[in-house]
Amino acid sequence: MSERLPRLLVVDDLFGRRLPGGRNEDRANLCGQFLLRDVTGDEGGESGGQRVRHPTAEVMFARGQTPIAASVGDVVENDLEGSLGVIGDGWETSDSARRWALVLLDLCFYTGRVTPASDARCPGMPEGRPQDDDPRAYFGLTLLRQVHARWPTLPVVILSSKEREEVSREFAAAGALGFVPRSGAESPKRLREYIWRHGLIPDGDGEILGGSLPVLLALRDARRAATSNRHVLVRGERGSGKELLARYLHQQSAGKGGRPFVVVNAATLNPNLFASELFGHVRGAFTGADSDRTGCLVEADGGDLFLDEIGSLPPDVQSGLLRALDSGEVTPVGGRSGRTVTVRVLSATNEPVEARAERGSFRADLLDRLREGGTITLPPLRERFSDIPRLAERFVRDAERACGGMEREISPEALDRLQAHPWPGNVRQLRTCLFEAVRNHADVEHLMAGHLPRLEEPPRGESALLRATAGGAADRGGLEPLIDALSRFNFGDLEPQELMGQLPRLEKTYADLMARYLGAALRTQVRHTQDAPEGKLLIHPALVLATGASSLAATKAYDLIIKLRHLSSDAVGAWDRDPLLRAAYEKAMERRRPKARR
Amino acid sequence: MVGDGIYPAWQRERSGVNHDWLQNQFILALGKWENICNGDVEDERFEAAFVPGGLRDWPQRREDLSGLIDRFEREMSPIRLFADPPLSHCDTKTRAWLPDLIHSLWLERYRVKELVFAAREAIESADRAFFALKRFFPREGSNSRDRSSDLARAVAEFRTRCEQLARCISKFPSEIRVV
Repeated sequence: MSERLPRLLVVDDLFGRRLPGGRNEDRANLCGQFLLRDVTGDEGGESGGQRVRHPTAEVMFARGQTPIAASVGDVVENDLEGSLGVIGDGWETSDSARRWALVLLDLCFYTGRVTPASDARCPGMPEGRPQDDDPRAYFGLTLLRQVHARWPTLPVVILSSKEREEVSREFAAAGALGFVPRSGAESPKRLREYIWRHGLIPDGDGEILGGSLPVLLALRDARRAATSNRHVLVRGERGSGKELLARYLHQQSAGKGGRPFVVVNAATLNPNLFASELFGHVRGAFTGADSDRTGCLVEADGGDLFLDEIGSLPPDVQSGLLRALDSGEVTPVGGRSGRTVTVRVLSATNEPVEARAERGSFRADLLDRLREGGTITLPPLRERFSDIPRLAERFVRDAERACGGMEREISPEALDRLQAHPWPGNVRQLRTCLFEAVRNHADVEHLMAGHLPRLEEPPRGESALLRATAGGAADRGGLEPLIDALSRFNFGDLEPQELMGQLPRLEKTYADLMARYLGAALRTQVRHTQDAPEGKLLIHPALVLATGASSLAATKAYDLIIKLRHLSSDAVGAWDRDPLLRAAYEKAMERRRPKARR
Repeated sequence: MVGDGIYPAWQRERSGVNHDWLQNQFILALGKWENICNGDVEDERFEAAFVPGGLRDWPQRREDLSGLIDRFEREMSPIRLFADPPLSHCDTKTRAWLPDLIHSLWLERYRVKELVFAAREAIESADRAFFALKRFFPREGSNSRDRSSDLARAVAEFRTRCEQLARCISKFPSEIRVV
């Protein structure tokens, strides 16, 4: 059963317009045709009395223009900044329930004066201007380009009644993932497919908990990989949930229901029995082989073989596995003939196998085979702090059931402490920690920070940046070691494979760092006065402090806040977690927003 | 290709009747009605309003669409460019043959006769589907509570025909194009 419905945003002049005192019939019809639940909230409920029995998604509507409710005599104009504001509000949020799974964008937005004739044809719609209908000047494409530049990972699909061929090159170049015609018997089905393939939606079964962006992106990669029978490599640190992701991929694969999912952990196998485990053996093949044994590849025939810790595969087994994958034939150890199998291998590792393949200690041709259907990277827990409250809730409940303890609330201080730890052992370590906390304090109604076991710092070998994430970098010698380490870090020393795909992580880490720096500066400028005993945030002085520029204008200070917030769309969690950063950003956006809007 | 064309009244009218009404309003309403017939959507307000109201707009609207199709060749031919400079400065001798040649080349280049024929066929198919659907509502203003699969099929058929019609009309060039 679905945990909750995907949340969509539709930016469209016709469906997004508000009709004072009446319902937008066109919007209600769109929702009725596509089986969507309207949650815009401007018409007293779901499209004013309409009820969709099994909705595909819930949807918010925005007009993308001002005024939202137009009457005869009003002039309707496109509203780029306002549209970006609406889109950003549902994207730059750590509240996964509010995040857009997908944004649907219209292409052609009609502008100009609302006349009695245009209002009679379609209430609240203007006459339109010639350029509105010019594919070169579609407002939807302008908006799409801005959205893609600002939030490259935000999935956008075009929803239009225009001819697809007319604009397909433009919308693809501008970053849209697809096109759904507004009308057409197949359109609702296509929308459902797009939500599944491109949407950022959590695991409906709740096995993989979390709605943070890195997790949603990994789930989407898994669904996309599930559409083919090609082998997939899952990367991720220990304890990050690689097997769970592989199971998710298996379950999402069409036709895999009821098919085998066989798990083999290469790291736990006796090196002498690797070949037997994978390929099976015949009686008498070696000492102790007193009966025939079916190997995992045959057990997984027609389904998936999850091969964990592939870095542990000995060279001869690598060769055998490659042969089996190439030919589809599995010959048991000691056997003369083989059996043809159809198996997708979902392999996993936390080792830099690409670098090992470069050095020759892992077969490069096998690695290519194992990732022919793609590589999915699971984020470490320190990159998805916003998921910790839900994970903690789940693990504490599980622990209470397992240990027989009473149900308890997790105190904010305990959550703060959990969110401040870098968790080198990832989700598994968090689970162990909370089980221990519940086991040791079975009869409490509140899980306090003091109930948590001592959380050890990561070993020295793990980077200074990792430690800094947990807080407290400054108390180990100020900023200089950090700046020194960053300025001297030489990427040229890394293997080419280690450089692969690291730019998004570097960007996010840098953006996180800047957020924490600004947060610290803001904290120094909270003044408690009689008028504001809870404290008043002095944003401009904080920015003067941070930049060291005493002549910094207030406008520039607010622009700087917005710029820092937009350094990486994947780092918004740091901003949302810190109330001072959140307040500073809201204030900056408020100053930027035209006063007349809405 | 948009080119350096002109946005004429015909195109504006097509936007209004084909894009705004047929595609964005009428076909969506039919799609929702189909879902209502199949029991996926409930909306009493729609049923009370659409069958006696919006659905019965079809005879008038099909006339608008038909007129649009009929006027395409006359209103969108490049022959119209001879009414304004610079082509209006052509001498009489040239005007005796050049406009007709350009018109013939345009008809050929954009397969205008085929487009018009296909659109007329589509409008007739939609008409047939409309009258088949209308049989479920014999009295003017009647509102059926019929949930039969026959009604759902009739609605689906009419919607499919309307979609085909909309596609046919969308294929007409949106500008007066020089050959």
